[in-house]
Amino acid sequence: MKLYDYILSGNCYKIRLFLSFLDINYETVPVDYYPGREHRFPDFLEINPLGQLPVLVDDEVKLRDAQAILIYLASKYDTSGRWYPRNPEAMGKIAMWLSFAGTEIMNSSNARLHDMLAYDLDADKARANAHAAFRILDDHLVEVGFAGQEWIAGTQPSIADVACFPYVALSRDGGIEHDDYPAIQSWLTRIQSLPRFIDMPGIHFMK
Amino acid sequence: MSKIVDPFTLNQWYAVRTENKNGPDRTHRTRLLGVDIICQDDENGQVSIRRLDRTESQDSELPSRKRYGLVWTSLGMPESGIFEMPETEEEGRRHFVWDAVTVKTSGLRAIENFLDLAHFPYVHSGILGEEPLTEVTDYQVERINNEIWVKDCSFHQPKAAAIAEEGIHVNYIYRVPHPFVSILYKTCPLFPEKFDVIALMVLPREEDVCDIYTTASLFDNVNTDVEILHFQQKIFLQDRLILENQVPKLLPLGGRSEVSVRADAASIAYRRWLLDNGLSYGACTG
Amino acid sequence: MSINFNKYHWFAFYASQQIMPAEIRARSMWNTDIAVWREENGSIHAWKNRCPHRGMRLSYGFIRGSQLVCLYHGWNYEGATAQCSYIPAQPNLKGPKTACVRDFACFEKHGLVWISTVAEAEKEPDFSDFGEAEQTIHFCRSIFVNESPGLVGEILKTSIFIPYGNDLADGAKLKIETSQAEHHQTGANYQAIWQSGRDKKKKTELTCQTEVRNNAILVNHYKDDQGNEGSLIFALLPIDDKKTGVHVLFSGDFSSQSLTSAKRHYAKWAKRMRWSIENRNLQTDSFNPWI
Ligand SMILES: N[C@@H](CCC(=O)N[C@@H](CS)C(=O)NCC(=O)O)C(=O)O
Ligand code: FES
Ligand SMILES: [Fe+2]
Repeated sequence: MKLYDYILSGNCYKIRLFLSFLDINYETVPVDYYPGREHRFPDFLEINPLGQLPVLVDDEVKLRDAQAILIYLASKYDTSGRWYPRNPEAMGKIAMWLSFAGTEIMNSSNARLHDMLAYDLDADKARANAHAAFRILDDHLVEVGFAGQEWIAGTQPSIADVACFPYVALSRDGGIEHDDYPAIQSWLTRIQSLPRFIDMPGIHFMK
Repeated sequence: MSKIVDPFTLNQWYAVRTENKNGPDRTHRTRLLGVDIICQDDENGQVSIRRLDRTESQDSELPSRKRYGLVWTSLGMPESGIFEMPETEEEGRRHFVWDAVTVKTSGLRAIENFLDLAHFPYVHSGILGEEPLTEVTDYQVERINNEIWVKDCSFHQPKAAAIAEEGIHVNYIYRVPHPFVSILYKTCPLFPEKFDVIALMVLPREEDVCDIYTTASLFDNVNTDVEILHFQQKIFLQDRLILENQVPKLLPLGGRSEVSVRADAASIAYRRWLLDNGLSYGACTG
Repeated sequence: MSINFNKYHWFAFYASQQIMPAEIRARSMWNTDIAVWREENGSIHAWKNRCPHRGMRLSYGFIRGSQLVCLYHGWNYEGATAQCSYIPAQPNLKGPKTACVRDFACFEKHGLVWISTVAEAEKEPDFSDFGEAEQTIHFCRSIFVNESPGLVGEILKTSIFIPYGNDLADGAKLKIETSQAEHHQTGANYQAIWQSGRDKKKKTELTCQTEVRNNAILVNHYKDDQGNEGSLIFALLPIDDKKTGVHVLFSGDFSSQSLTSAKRHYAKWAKRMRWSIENRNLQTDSFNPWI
């Protein structure tokens, strides 16, 4: 299995983290995302015409989009079935939060790209939108927490948690603090305490 | 300019762009010491640089130099040329220039962090250090020709460089030739008698925001450029998390608001040197 | 009856349940960045969120036993004294006296961590009139409103809410019987009629009375004609002049199942409250999240 990877990308980290949770061996192909913009040149565009990371290649299967890759990996390799339970309600809820991770939460990524790598993006707007998304997630975690549910889409951690985690955790790189979201903070801590959790720059281990 | 810039800071050369990076119309805009500037390439690759806060064209032109893969300028009257780094010409080394990463803190905090060994086991755990090998043994600090030199440092590192396969004992030498530049020499895992050279060239955009360019001249015959880039960025972005969370953002030079121990001798010497040279930009008095 | 945010008071800073043993959290109180953390044995501390060594925010650190370890260089600070006890770079050196973190008085009560930034803070908040307080006061949630503490306090003082037991389904309407003028003047006493959204004929009469305790805690006592009775409590935290924390608590006897529903009920109210305060320009009446 081969992951086209960039060390600072939260989307690539989603996959590295999940592969570590599943304890699966894989190879990485490091891509010069910044400063080289290698993902926008023809060699990489052949791999993903969208010019985005990550891309996973597993034998004959080639997939782009972190959320799609999480579904594939969980469906194929998670023998416990807990990361992506096959029942309609769970699948629907997980899809809902995967989509949230790929859209709303990506505002946090935009603020980070602006503040860190000088991307020409409207950072204030991205920050405001990220805060709005974090509120929704925090409210959700508060409310399911009343009945003892500690994870985004059920009583067990799922790929929805993996998909939402990186850019929530990394938001401070883009000037988005977590102070107003105590339920999110407790949830981040729970993820960081899972067996085989791995770090990335900006998300450290809790020793 | 929002604040009067002290002469020591003003009269330095600053890296404002990599040589090969360019924006639309061969222009590149950035900010230096609170002033908007623009770099413009002509057909022959000559770069002219202007400051955008002055209307008269003769007042707005700035000097332009190319060195170490970077384009340099100054808002003041530098007394000398850009500092020398002879290692960058040495045979057998691979040379890297990595484009800037922005950090929302004073550039001085970034330089001080670069001179610090004690954080390795915590901030770069498993790479540049690891508990319980946390001790920083005594090292020497000297001033030579108004530069700071830090010598005889050594530290155990689990993975000293992309090429390192096992933990090694690494010797370090640091040099600070410029308030916003630091160069380090560390034992090369491939040839233990040689040093790899890594330098941090900071562009202070504002007192509390900087762009950091990194260059390296390494011995490594195994890793690809991209693998080395990833190794470098991993470490650098671990530091960024620290730098953006130090309070205050400006570096205190008064010696009262932060507690130091012997292991901080390089940091203390750096702060004292800044003070002796009359620097105030990016610093505070606490 | 006025709300007062001067610093000679205890403020509800964090929910106890959101800081587990060996965890650290931070937020601001009147612009002072404060870290709260628990030793592994559960003891709680509130410290200035800054390491005396190189100024790193301590909330990025981690806890080992009774020590807070700074992320930057691993300096250890002892919980009980806030004094540096160990410097990894110089294992044989005793932590310098000056390496001491500023600590703030704090204690836990009613599911909240209370903090004072001055030594001579006034008396602790008291809810003993609710009975055996620790069991009968329930924490619902902390919620943050992007408005000044003064404004949030004033609005909440005249706020109207529907006690648990009444249905909040869509289309529910609230009609205040007390005249607007009277309501604003007296601060908080009001009578209202609540019309259920599901069953238009179902109407509930409601009386409510608000008092201010310890300057920044609002207590709403309510009673309705269905026999529901209790109190809703907002402990206000001044974060800065643009943001206010509201810790929502309530009292009453609940079975464990109805307690969960009651929390949902008040959490729903809290979200409406936040929306209403932040979107005042879209509203006609004084504060009423169901208009
Ligand atoms: N929907 C995609 C988005 C991936 C994405 O935005 N990746 C970033 C790196 S973190 C990227 O490659 N961006 C390149 C670009 O859009 O220029 C996913 O979730 O994988
Ligand atoms: S800044 Fe906290 S240990 Fe150095
Ligand atoms: Fe570092």
